[in-house]
Amino acid sequence: MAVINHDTREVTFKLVYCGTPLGGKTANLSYIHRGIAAGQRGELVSLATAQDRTLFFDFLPVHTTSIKGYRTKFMIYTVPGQVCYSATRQMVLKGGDGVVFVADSQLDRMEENLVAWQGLQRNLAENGVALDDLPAVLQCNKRDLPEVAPLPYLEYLLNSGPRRLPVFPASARSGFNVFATLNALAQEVLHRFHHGCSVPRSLPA
Amino acid sequence: MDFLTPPSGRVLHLGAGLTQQFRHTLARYLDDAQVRYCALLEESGSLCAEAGDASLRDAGETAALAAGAFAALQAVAKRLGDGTFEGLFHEGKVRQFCLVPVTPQFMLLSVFEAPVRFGVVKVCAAKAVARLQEQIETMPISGSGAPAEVVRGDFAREAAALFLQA
Repeated sequence: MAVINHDTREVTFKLVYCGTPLGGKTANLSYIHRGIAAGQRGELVSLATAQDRTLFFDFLPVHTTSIKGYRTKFMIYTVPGQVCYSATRQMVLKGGDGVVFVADSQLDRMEENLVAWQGLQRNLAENGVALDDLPAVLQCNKRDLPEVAPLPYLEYLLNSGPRRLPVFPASARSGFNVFATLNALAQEVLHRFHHGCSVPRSLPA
Repeated sequence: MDFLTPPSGRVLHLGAGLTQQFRHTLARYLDDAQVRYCALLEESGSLCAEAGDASLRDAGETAALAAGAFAALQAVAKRLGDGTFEGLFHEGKVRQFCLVPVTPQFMLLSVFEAPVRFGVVKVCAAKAVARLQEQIETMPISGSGAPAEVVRGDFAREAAALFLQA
């Protein structure tokens, strides 16, 4: 939920990175953390296991340039990808203003991609939100690795519904298209906010 | 008093007058309970208002973690068959903190140290929560996006440059 604080003249949005287990959600956030000047962001908070798998969420607050006297703040979260963390994902997704789905481009991860994609839709639906009505971007990560699926195949698998999401081939490890992905989502969130259509259609109870 | 949690994606307006009311209530609570810091948090991790020790303020990390911890523990309580979750309390060696629900969407974070006792904090927090509930009830929640005063001009064009400098 976007929060406008007229007293501190700050608008806050919540963005959530979801996706395939080990797909590179935390790597995206780490790259963003490294790429933004310290004065424009807070600390990267990671609640992870000893093996660096996200346990609860990663969190990074980012302040952007002031727009018309209001400072824009994005609270960027990632969620754990594994199926068993569905309840945690649903919790972190609550109140989200936009999502990035990070897919793993490696050929042998297509089934995991599909399961995670369906899980995201289910988690949103349980929160009363339809993915079709939420600002969203699809990132096909790990394009730098060998044995990756062609982009049209990933699109066929994950993005062939009536609403086509913006797609970004990326490599979170090298930073390729990491900021382009974030920028695309931020723009869509802000565009909807500006044009008064920031309310995703609630699903029928 | 019934509170409705609005659907995801709506816009929560914290007017300057309302934020001042929150701060006034928090400041009074700070004095009554002798807590070191207190804050009103929204369930998505946003900080709505705060009072007390400025050294405990940050860019939003504490609010996000607190909201996450609160939601997680509430979910655990529900799964274990306890639907009447009344908050959480951490007893540290240096500092103690507690999180209590204000409405289903908001919570109150209090940080305190010895010799302040949890019992006193709990009693004072209950009074502060009642006042905050009354104030929250007046809060407008818009489903129609941003008010004109926030986004005059070519907002989308300016937004396009957000992360390009990074």
